Amino acid sequence: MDHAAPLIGRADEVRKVIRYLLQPDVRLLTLTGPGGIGKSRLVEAAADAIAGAFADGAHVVDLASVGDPTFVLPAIAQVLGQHESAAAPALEHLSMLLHDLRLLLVLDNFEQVLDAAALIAALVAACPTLKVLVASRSPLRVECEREFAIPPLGLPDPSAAPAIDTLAAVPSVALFINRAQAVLPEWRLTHSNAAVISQLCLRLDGLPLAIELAAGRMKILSEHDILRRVVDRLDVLAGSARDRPDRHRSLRAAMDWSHDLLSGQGQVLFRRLAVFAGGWTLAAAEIVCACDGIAEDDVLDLLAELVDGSLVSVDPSGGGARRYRLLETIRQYAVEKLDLSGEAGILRQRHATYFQSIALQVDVALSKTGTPDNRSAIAEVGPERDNLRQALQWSVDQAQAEHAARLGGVLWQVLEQAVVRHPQPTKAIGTSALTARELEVAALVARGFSNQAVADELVIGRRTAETHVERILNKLGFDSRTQIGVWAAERGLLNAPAD
Amino acid sequence: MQSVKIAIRRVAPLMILDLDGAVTGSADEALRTAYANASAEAARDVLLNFGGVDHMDSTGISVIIALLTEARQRQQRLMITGLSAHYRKIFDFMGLAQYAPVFESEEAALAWITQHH
Repeated sequence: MDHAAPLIGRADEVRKVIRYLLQPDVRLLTLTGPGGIGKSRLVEAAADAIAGAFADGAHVVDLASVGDPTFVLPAIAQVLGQHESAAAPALEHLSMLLHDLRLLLVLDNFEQVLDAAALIAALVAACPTLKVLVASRSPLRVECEREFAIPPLGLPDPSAAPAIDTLAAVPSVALFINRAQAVLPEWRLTHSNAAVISQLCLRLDGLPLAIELAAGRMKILSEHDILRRVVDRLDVLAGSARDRPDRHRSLRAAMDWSHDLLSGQGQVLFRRLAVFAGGWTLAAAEIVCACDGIAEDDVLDLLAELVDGSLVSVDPSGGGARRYRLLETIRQYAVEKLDLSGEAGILRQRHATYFQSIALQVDVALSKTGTPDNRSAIAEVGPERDNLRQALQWSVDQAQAEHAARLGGVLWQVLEQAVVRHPQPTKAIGTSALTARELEVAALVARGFSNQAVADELVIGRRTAETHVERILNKLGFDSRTQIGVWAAERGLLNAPAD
Repeated sequence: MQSVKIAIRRVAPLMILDLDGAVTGSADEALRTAYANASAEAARDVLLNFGGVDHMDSTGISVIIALLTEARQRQQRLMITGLSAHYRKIFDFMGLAQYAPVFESEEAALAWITQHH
């Protein structure tokens, strides 16, 4: 899906979400709905629209690649640019950090980590000005939660034959038109195709992802052909998956026939791309996926075929090599295909081998510069964090100790640097985070006092002074005394008398 | 930073390696020697106690990962305790806790091992 494309047909829902979030008693709002209903797009749009109402902004945490509930708070801390406290548990540390901030925390793909719901509820309870917006297939089922079930896009009335302009304004039809014209600019909604498009939107239950997949095929199929294929596929699914809700069948049908339309090689590449975690670059796809039926030179064209078919999205964030990814709902479908193909084992091996070689290159680059803290070499592989973790686990499983050790070393630096690069929220921590004694110590540290000098000045033991400094570092999320100095100076603590 | 010092003690059925100081790449030989000595005592389960560790870097985690990978290969079990909250989270984030169980305390590790023996 093209996440840079405008959000179509959701103006009402965005307004409702904003209205909810502005209510003082709404602290945790969960947008629920099945895969393909457009939860991620809606929370992104709502967060963008309302960010200005929060003095400390809106921060989006995508939990798609976070499979373990215990990783949720670390993932939040990382997006906020925070080191976790060495002394305090993650919840306590985050609560302290967010306590005085007017901030909107957006948690996407929460259904993967529902067991972390109580932690989020505790965070909301501890931070009076924090609001949390969640996108999840299921509600968190905690007391402070307000749920907003995202409806399907508005559908045309099957019993009416409205004017073309009226039909074009119906949200599901508007989305179809927008996405169809993205691949076929000259295409128009007309009297001759209006009934087919209406029928298509109805059969796809107004599910945005299903409609986008269908419209993406307008380049190669007529609207009649698309409708016929969708209906055929729905008939098959109606027979084989009676226990699934209609909307699940609609999405499955759209994915099935969209997949069936791919070339043979396109289908192979599609399933092989499921081996990546957190996206991939063209270079990675060329090396990992080019084997047994796909040549390295074929990968670019096949990837373009998948992008054209709306099965692969191009990451719009820019910077460095362009990255591609499968929307989570589509990735789960691709994983199924990969597991059924019998290729999963060899693809995981190829994936690990590729990232082992990337880790080796980083290692060599670091050793050449002689600086173990080379930021640029590490920053370049930063986006590959999830792939590196997956390769590390594969290497440990396969008893490849040398590769595992190297991958672990690189991943460690990636995780450390990801924190260092975005230190902005720390600045917002007020003096209330420290005790009176810690403020005294911070002021002395800012004036260049050593731990011994602090101890002498305050008539306390050296070990006690060290403990105070350690606690200040932890509470403020800093890793150096210099940062304490800057923080203290910004708050006028340097002017306070030392005694 | 003080380079790592390692003391070995037996608390049946565990062998415990108490680490003190900084865990960096230079800890490789000391850790391997200590681990080999602990293994020589016929212990299947070795507990690394990070309680005295004040610093660990990327080369240090590489040493630990190599050690735990080799231990798994030899059907031995490496366990961890004493990690600070920060290192614990990075350890978890790297997915390593599934290979080397992490415990809040030595007692918790002993209770677990007794149950699983």
